Amino acid sequence: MADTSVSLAGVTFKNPVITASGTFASGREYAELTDLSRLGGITTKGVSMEPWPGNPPPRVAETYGGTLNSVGLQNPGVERFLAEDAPFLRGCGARVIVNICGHTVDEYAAVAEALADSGADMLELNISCPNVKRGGIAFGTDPERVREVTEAVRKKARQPLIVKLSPNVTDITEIARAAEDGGADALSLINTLLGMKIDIRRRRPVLANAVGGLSGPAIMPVAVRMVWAVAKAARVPVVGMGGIMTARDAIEFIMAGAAAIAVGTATFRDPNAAVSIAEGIERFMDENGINSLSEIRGIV
Amino acid sequence: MKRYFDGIVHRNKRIAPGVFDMTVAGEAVAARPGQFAMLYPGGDSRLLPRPISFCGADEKNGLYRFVYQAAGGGTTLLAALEPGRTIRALAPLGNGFPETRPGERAAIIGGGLGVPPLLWLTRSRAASGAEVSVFLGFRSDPILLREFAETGAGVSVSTDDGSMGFHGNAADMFENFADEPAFDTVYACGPKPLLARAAGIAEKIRAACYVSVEERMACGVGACYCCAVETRGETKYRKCCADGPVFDAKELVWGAGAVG
Repeated sequence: MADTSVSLAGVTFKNPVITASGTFASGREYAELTDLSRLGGITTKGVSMEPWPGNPPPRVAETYGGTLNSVGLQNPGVERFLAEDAPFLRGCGARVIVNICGHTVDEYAAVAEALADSGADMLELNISCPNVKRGGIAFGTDPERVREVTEAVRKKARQPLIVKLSPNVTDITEIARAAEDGGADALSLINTLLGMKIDIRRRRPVLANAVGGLSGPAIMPVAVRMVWAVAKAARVPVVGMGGIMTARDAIEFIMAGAAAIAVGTATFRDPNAAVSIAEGIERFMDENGINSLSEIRGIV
Repeated sequence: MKRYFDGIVHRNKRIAPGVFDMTVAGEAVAARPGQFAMLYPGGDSRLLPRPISFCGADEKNGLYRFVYQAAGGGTTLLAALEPGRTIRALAPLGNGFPETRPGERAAIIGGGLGVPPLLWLTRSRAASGAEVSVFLGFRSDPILLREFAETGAGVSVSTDDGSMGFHGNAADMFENFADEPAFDTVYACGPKPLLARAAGIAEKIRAACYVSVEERMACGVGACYCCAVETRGETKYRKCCADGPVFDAKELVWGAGAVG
């Protein structure tokens, strides 16, 4: 039987499938619909120092093969995360990655520090959310700021640090190198692509925020190409994501060089999508005589 | 307990222009008035399910009824499903209307496609001995009137074009009626301006008010935070799917768009 386990910056995952930040809350909402212990990992929704209110509704729109969202990182802050979500996550049976966000370098670093004893296995630095005015993508598109915030968080973080990259840049490998220079232990990509949908009857954008982040299968070829480019350029492991709906999609990312993959929008269509994809990867390995994913990782 | 399951379309019949009455046979899940299901239109180009409130349920036999409008691409796909076809569903979701109190005098106010979820509420309130007055407003084509009348509740109808019943919307009609007799509770479902009016009238007559709110959703279970509803609480936005869709009207902020 195939060994589906993967290692990410020294952390072993039983399989390469992780839930993508912002699509799975802290797992509790899906606990009665899917078996969390069969996931490789859960990435939480973004956690900030103080509570963030998020953007006005409507926050979501459906597009062809995708969804646009402008949630704006609504969350109750790290104190409530530690009190309400962290204890649940410690017993969920999957690896836990806490996604952290901030308005300033100091805020990012403070959240990382507050999570020292949270039980999180890894932290994911969100410098790529397109839906907040300060922080988020404002950091993730400038190599110097990427290096600076990564370095500051790396100093405070007790866990290995993943830096999540935005596709809304001219050269994503330049941003990847900046994150590595700042001390990133791994990279994850891609966050959503900026997009827009217009309600032609009302003659205005569907989203109250006008623009939002596009996810879903519509963006997958863009994501595969970027993971392929970054995996070749980077020394640290890459978590690939962007529109993965099936195990075959996940295999594409692994062949492009991803050490692990994340499932997001697919969960909205099937609460069990991530677990099904993990099972499908194992089946694919068995059918193709693959004993370890390292045999096909980055083979393209 | 929420279930994600494949149901079978029992019937899916057009009952008014663009309005369909669908019964789905699926897993026996315990649901209550005001709760909803996510129905998955299917196809690779449409990823998101559509939230549709229960119009009724025979939980013992796993039969669930939805009356919905074929308005956009997703609901148009639902309308095209013929009896015998499979439909994927996630249910039951949301909190539903609160339990009744003994001797409750309830006003139930619905507008347009907000009317169907109130049929189940009216039935359950009437069956539990509450004194129920129903105020239903439509643009021009009323739906479900016979079934509302069969519950034993008093039913008043309005149309925007005056073609039937009171000339105006359901809130106008309710306001005309609201001085006497008094109501303990007002329940409303429909367009936001109607909900805001119902909440205002309820406050004036010192009745509790519960409204069922509609918002664009993605996950349906409280994970994605897409279906934000503005509230007065310390958390500015609450989740329509998990904290609602039924809210105590006192908690809600009625935006500028709701006036009128």
